[in-house]
Formats: sequence, C-alpha cells, structure tokens
Amino acid sequence: MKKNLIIFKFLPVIGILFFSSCEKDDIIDEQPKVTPTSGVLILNQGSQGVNNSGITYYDYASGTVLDEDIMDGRLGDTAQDMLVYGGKIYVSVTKSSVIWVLSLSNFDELGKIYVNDGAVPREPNFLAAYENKVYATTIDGHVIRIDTASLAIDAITAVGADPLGIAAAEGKLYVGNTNGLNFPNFDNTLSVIDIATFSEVLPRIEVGLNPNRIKYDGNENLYITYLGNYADVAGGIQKIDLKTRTVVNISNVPANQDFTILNDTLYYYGVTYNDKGLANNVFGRYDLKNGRQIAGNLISEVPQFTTVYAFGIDDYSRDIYVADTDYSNPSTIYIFDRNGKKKSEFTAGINAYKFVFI
Amino acid sequence: MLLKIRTLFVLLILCCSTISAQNEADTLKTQELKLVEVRADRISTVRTSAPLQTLDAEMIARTGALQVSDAARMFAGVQVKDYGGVGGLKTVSLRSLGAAHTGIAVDGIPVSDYQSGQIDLGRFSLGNIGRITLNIGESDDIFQTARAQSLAGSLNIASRRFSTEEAGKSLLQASLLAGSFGLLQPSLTVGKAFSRDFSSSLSADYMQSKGDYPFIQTIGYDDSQTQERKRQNSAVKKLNLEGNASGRFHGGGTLDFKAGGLISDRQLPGPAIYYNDYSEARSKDRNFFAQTAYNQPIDNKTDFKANAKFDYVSSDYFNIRSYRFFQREWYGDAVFLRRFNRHFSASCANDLIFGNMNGNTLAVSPARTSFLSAFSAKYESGIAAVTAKLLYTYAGDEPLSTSFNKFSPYLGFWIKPLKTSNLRLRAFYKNTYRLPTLYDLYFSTVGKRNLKPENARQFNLGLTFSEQFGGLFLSLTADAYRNRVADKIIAWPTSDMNIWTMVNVGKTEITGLDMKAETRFHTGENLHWQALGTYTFQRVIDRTNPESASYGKQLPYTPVHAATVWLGLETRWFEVNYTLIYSGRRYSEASNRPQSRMKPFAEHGINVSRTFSLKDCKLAITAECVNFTDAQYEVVKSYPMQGRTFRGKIAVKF
Repeated sequence: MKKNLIIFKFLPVIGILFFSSCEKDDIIDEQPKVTPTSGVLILNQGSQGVNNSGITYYDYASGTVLDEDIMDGRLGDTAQDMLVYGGKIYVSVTKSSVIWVLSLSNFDELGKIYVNDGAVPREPNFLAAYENKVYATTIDGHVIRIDTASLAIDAITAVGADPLGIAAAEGKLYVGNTNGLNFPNFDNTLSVIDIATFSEVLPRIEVGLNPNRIKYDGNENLYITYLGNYADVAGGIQKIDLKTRTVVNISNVPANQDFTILNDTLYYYGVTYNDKGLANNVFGRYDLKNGRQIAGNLISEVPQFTTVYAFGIDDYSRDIYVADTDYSNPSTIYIFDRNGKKKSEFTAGINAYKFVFI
Repeated sequence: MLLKIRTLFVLLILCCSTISAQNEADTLKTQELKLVEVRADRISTVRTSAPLQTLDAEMIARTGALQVSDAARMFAGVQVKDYGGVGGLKTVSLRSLGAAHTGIAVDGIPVSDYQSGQIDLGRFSLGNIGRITLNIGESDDIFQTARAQSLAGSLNIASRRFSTEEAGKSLLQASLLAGSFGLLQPSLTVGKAFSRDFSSSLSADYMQSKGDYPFIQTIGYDDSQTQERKRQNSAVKKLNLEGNASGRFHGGGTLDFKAGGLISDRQLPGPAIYYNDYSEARSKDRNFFAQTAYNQPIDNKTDFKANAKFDYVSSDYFNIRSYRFFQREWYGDAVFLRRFNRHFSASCANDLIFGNMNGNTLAVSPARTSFLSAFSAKYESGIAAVTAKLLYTYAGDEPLSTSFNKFSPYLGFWIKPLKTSNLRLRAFYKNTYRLPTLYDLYFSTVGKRNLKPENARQFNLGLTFSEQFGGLFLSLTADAYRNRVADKIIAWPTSDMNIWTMVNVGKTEITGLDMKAETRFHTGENLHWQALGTYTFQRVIDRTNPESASYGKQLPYTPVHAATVWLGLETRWFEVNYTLIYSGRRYSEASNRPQSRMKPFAEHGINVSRTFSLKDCKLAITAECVNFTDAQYEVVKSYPMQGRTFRGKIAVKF
C-alpha cells in the first residue's frame, strides 16, 4: 500500500520527462531601433560579475517600455551613474571601468572611454558636468575630466580615498571621500577641486561619516547624505553653505537613501525604524527656502517594497519614479503622479539604480 | 545504551516481519561485507537502499580526471560548480540540494568549512587516491560516524592502502604530467608493507599551472559580437602531502593513522568582466590535518571503532586588502556495532566536535561545540535489506549562546522481488539539516541572528539491475526523486539599500531522475570494452515567494538535462578512453530571462595510453586531449572554462 503511494509521488517525474522534450526555445525579442522622443532612461546596475548592466527606455507617449536595453547587453558590469549633457548621454560602468557616450537623439554609440591607469582600472563612479566638461570620481582616489568634444580624458587630479559622490557648483567640484574599501574606518570629508586649475584646494570640508550623495541647489548650498558605519554611527542629511563652509545637520528629514532637488524643493526617500525594529519607507518633501518639512506624504499609499534602489522626479510632470529590487529579479518601476497616487508600474532590468528624464 | 539498541531493534523487527518471513539461505555474511569495506576492491552499487556510485583510481585515471572535481562530474545527480581553470573554486552539490548539504569526507571523516559551509574540491589531490565514493542519502553501512549521516549525502575520498596480501611488498609510484597553459604535475608515492600487520606510505603531489588559457567571450545578448580574450592572473601552485600508517594487533584490532597538508597559492582571475582584464586577487591556503581510526572487534558479535581528527585551515584572501581566516577543528567519535544474528545488526555512534574561527577583519572569534548521536539498525538477507537510522544533532555557539537541536531520520530498503533476476527495487527517505555556518551567524548580517537550520527532505525510489551474461556484464540503475529544501539561508536585502541580512526564506522543490548504465564485454581475446553512462534530469523549482518573478522557475545554473559518457577500450598494446560531459540549457538569473540563458555544452575528451612492463617495473605513457572540440562554455556566468587542452603523462610503478 505504502509502495503505491510512493510511486504516485513519482508520477510527475514521468510526466515532466515526457513533456520536456517538446519544450520550446524562448527567443529573445528582436527589438527595432528606437528613436527617443520623450521618456525616461533607467540605468540598470545588474548583478556584479555577470556583465548584465543595461539601460531601459520607457516612452511617455505610449506608456510602454520601447527598449528593454538600448545597449543590447553590451554596457558592461556594474553601471553606476548616467547623465545627459549637451545632447549626449554619459554612462559610467564601474567594474568594466569604462564611460560610454551615447547620442541622445538616436542612442547611437559615440564613444567608449576606458578609464585605466596603465593596465589597472580606475573604476569610475559618479558623474557631474560643468562648462563643456564631464567629471567622474574614480575608486582609485581621483577625479577624471572628459572633454565633451574629443570624448577623451584630458586631465586627472587626486582627491581622498574611494571618492563616490560629486557635484559641480560655482567653479568648484565637491567630492565625497569615503575610504569605503578600508571599512569600517570610513572617511568624513569632502574634497574641493578648483575647476579652473583642476586641482584640490585644501582644507577639506568635514561632513558626516561616509558621505554618499551630493547635490547642488543652485543657490550656493550643497546637500549631502552620509551613511555612517552601518553600526553605531547612523546616517543622515546635511546642508553646506558654500560661502561660509558651515555644515548643518537637517535632523528632522529622514533622507538617508536618496534625494532630488527641483527648484526649491528637496524630494527625498529614507528608511526609518519603529521601536520594534521594523523598517518603514518614508517619502517626503522639504522646503529649502524656509527649511521646513512640507506636510503630507509624497506617496499616498506606499506599496510593499523589498528594497527601493532608485528614486527620481520627472522635472516636467513632477511624476514620482520608484524602483524596487530584490537584487536577483528584474526591478519593478512604480510611477506615482504629483499627488502621490499610483499611475502605473512596469519592469526594467536587474537593480534599476538611476532615472534620467529626457 | 545496549538496552536502547535492543528496544529499537524490536521495533524494527516488527516493521519488517513480512519481509523476514521470506528469508533465503543465500545471505551475505556480515563478515564478508566488512571485508569489502576494508579492502574496498569492488563495491556493490546495486545492492544498496540509497544510490551509491564509485570510481576507483584506475577508472579516475581513465576518465582523464586531473582533479577530484573532474572525477565527481562523472557521477549521476551531481553538479560541480566550477569557476574554471585549475585554481577556480570547485564545489559539488547533490541533486541540487546545495553544496552546503553535501559532505566531503577523507577516509570517512568529514571536512568542514565554518566560513561558507562548502568545501572547495580543489583542496584535495588525486595523488594517492584509492577511490572516490558518492553516497546520495545514506550508506547502508551502519558502522560509521554519526557525522557522516548528518548531511544529505557525501563524497568520500579514500586513499590507496595496502591489502594484507601485499605483505613484504614495497611500492614506488612516480609520475610527471605536463600540459597546456603551463601545467606541470610531478607526483611521488612511496610505501612499504613491512609485514601483514604494518604498512606505511608517503606521498607528495605538486601542481602548477599558468592558467592563461584563451577563451571567446560573447559581448551582449546576441552572438554577433565576440571577443578573443585570455584568462589573466590565473596561476596556481599547490602541494599536497600525505602520510599513512596502518597497524594490525593480535586481537584483530587495527589502527590507521593519516596526516597531511596542503600549501596552495593561487591567483584569482575573478569574473571575465567586459572591457576589463585586470585582477590582482589571490589566495594563500594552508591546511594541516591528522586523523586516526581505531577498529577493535570486542567479541564475534560486537565491533568497536573510534576516530579522532585535528584539522587546521588558514586562508589569506587578498583583493585590495587582505582578509585572513583561521579555522581549527577537533573531532572525536566512537561507534559500537552489534550483530544479533546473520540478518540483524545495530549500531550506536557518538561524535563530539569542537571548532572555532577567527580572522583579521572579524570582530569576534566564534566557536561551536557539536554533539551528534546516531542509532542505526539493519536487516539484511539475500532478497531484502532495510536500514533505519536516527540522528540527533546538538550544536551550541559562543559568544552568542545560540543552540540547535535536531532529529534526522533515515529509512531505506531494497528488495529483490524475483528469484531468477538480479532486479532490485529500492527506496529511501532522509531528512537532514544544514546548520548556519559561524560566518552566517556572526558576520554576514546586521541586527538579529535568529537563523534556523536549512531543512532538506529527500524521497528516492529506484530500480537496480546487474547481471553477467556470459562475457557481458551489465549494470543499470534508475532513481526518481522528490526533494524539498526549506528555510534556505539566503542573504536578503533589507529596506535600506546599504544593509543586507541573513534570513531563512528560500524554498526549493526538486523533481529528478538519475540513470546510470555500466557494461563490460570483450570482442575477441584482446579487445576489452567498458562503458559507463549517466543521465540526470532535474526540475529544480523556486517556491520561495509567489509574488516574485523567479517563483516557479528553474534554479539558476541548473540544467534540466545532463549526461556523461565514458567509453574505454583495452587492447594488448594500448588503451583508449573517451569521455563526454554534456549539460543542457540553463539560466544564470533566477527569473530565467532569455538574456540570461546559457547554451548547452558538450565537452569531449580522449586519451591513449600504453603500458610497458619490465620485470617488476611498469611504465605507462599517456597522451590526452581534453575538450578536443574546443567548446567555449561557462558553468558559472562570466567564468570561462578551459578550451582545448593537451596533456602528456609518464608514470612508473615498482
């Protein structure tokens, strides 16, 4: 009797065996060449070590993904940042140690800049643009300068260890030194580079431990997030007055993950924990002029996210874009309207990390 | 304790009363079984309740295996995760249960890793190999350590040893192998059986390789763009040393002692990243171990066995900075076996393990004390056998004072329903737990560390057949199985993108079929043929989260179809062997996106050898070509495997 039961358990095996032989090949859809009009480019970081970074193009007019990957899988490994400047798209791919330059009008490849020191890759991180030059921090402790006409590196200057964030403001570059490869002994300084001479001007500005994102508000203030040491030192957000170089903690804003500045509003996303240690995703707005939280939730009903990996605001429609990842499956992109109501969702690549609205 | 065994036994007798009613006279004496165990000349792979596969030294050489992992690939139901090249990490997973569920044992004593829970097969050498045995589920041998029963299955690497018939003989075995990409492997074994009662041997096996093999990489999702590249930073230097001594006492007791070590310096090329060849990662690994096994028959019905082992591992992994880990383990066990009559036997094994680890980047130095206790009972006749085992595991960790208590049952049987045919039906059920490693518990997570052990359940139902038809020997096995792994320990993202945690979330459902065929026959007096084929079918489905894109999809790197073929021909003048490893399509991503599809591959190998005999000396010359079609493939995404490789080997044996 028992034997029969066991045999019953194995019936599916025979069934699967039978059907597996008729299994059809799933074919990668050949996508026609896309001409971008108005939409969003999503930089997918991919999983480290498997060369699966990519760029997804989502079209506003049709409300669909027109190209799952405009690079067809050739971008490289661990893409980190993307910016649009002067009709070109610049993409830094850290582990492949290249910066791609693409045409904004038809996504054609204009250049691939190898960021190496002899044979040793410098590994570019975040990008900034200023007066016909594009700058990138590199993990080996430098900032490189790319000439936007020749699409080549024309100068390199040293900063602190393992710099990540970078912002250009009023003739200067501000670079966050993390010393992240030497954890847990993180750095807590910003290097200041004079753009005219392209060299660091000491002293460095002391900020929170492990500086991460740096953004300029256009009004001689920088806003930076820092991550702390993931143990006893927590992260936060700070404001730096560039005239006086004073650093002020904005303690009532839980913007510890990412933020965007549009006009005089700082849109942020952070994670807070309740007394039971349960995490809570917080999306909010902060009025930079008055230094006040703007009342009301940015997103009215926050979905059950695994990990929010990218956050962006479309500067025209003020739609809110949120990418949710679990690090192994394709990311889900959520679009919320300016009132915080969910409009739609779609799928991008693995680890969608940055939105660029075009 | 004996009383307990007896009670257990009575229970078992009740269970099997129907089978024992059909007792036949042609039973296998336990004494004979013991001999088989010790001498390990030819192990029956069909008269077992759970699948058992074995390759002896000669077969391993004939399949063209350079390392233990190459030999392991020949088994059905096994996946070797190979990161390519001589120095690339090589782990083995049984029936997709995961490498951490698969035990690796040296002469019956399992090896452990407190960091990852999985053992790199590259650590062992084939220099003084006797045989490699793979048990899926459980061995029918109940005279073994409790620890050997604690995992879903195990791969045992047994050294060559002298048999009692070889008294007075000495052995000198020396070989030199050279091959493509700077491969050089000198190997030396010397041994002497001083008498029937005492023998010893020493062996040294050195291997070096430049490992700068070329490969063709496809850039992007379509095949239109490829790049010819070369593996960089891939050199390996490795020395395995081993000494063995065996003694026999007048009372029939035996004492075996083994000590050895490994010195390995490897460059690690890392994944083949697009547009970037550079890697400076390297690893220095050192291992020292000493183990001893003492066997003593107490009376004609009772046997006693004790094992002890010390194992030290250090690894210095350098990538931008240096990460050093040290691990020590002390192990002891005692096993009693009692034969009640020629059909029934029972055993009790108790193991005590103490291990600790520390490292230059680790804030604490955790330690674990484990106690394992196993009670086993076996009934065996010529037509049926039943084996039942119950294992209790306790493990306690410091400084967190976490502890684990688990019971793991095993039940397996085979029956031979027809008197006239060697057809056997077999089945087993086994439930095992994989404890979180010290690293899982102490270093890979922020916040709470309330991890449970991973839970693996296996059901297996199989048929075996073996027969000698005149000059033709044929052995066939087919096993269908259903496995479930729950509470998988997985690094899991938290809401904060900068913080990960370790949780028990994974669930996998495995449905599979392993088949194996083996044959030997002659055509004429001088042509001896041998063939071995395996086929593995596996549906390994993620059942973790119904909301996820990976739910219901095949686990990454797991082919649905895989097969191996080995064909050997011996003639009076030379020997030719052909080996095929085939793996069907698989995916590198959990959601099985078409972009992540990895193409099927077939690796073909061929070798020819000739042996010259001069008095007591045998000289063998072998030429081989591995992957002669130069198949470009990866087992793990971005870790290209070696293409066409030539090797030549010269070996002398006195």
